[in-house]
Amino acid sequence: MGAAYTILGRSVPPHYLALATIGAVGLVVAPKPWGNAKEAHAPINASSPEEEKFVKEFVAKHSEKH
Amino acid sequence: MFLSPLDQFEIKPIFSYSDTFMLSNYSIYLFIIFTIMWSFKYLLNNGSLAPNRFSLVIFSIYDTVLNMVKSQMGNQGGIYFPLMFTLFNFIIMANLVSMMPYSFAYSAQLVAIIFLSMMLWLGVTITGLAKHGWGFFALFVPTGTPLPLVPVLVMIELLSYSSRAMSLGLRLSANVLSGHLLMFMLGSLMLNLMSLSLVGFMGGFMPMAGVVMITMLEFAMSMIQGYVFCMLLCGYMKDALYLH
Repeated sequence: MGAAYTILGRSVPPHYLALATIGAVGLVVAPKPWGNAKEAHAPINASSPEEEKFVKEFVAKHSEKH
Repeated sequence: MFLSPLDQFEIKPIFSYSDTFMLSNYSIYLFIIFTIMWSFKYLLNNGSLAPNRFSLVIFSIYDTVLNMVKSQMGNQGGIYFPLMFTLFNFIIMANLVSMMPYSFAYSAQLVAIIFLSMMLWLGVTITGLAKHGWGFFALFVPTGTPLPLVPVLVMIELLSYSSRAMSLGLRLSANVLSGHLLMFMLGSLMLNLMSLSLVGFMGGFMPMAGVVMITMLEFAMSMIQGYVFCMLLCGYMKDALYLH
């Protein structure tokens, strides 16, 4: 095991630093389990409101759960 | 007759009985490898005063693996010797059996070998955690790292540590796979050239020299890869046992 680091006058063992780094990165990277769950869908990019309506209806009709 | 160079690595059913029991070339070759390893017990020639040639080979393997384990992990690593000896024998037997013409290369099966290396890596990690507890994570902070660099190095070391699980098996499998492919392709080239015409027959001696050389290289590779696999595993075990 490597030598301890001195941070703000306190001796910190290296595995604390490793665990803190891994924990911090894990918190940033992990998806948040709280908050509103938004349903992901692809952008429609329709050229007219009618087309958009048609695409929405088509998708809704064909993505019904059986 | 092989249709493509990758055909030799396919798992094919050889014998099946009512959908519940099936023997494939994979399981048969695994059985052959284990039978050879089991036969060491009888090849040792324990009953007589002097060892025979087979016993000398087994003693040499024993000595090689024991030296490797002791040089990496010290005398305390002796408890891992049976694991390393079994692994070393398993890998070299799998590699050498696959060198027989028309046989099946067990160690070129990426799924089997990478699964083996992942399980070994998991075992090494659990051993380290059991021995050092949270202190095991000090492995990710190399000695003498300046404080500002610690977060960066921890992530790099973590990545390098976790990629060992794949790289250990991939190294062995990819080497065996590429070697067998090369031998097959050079062999096919030689056969095609030599069956063309008299000039082709003469020209076919060049790939033949290549086949001979690659075959010799593959025999060396069979043993070296087994050694490398065990040597690296010993190194990983040493890291987990003694940290840095």
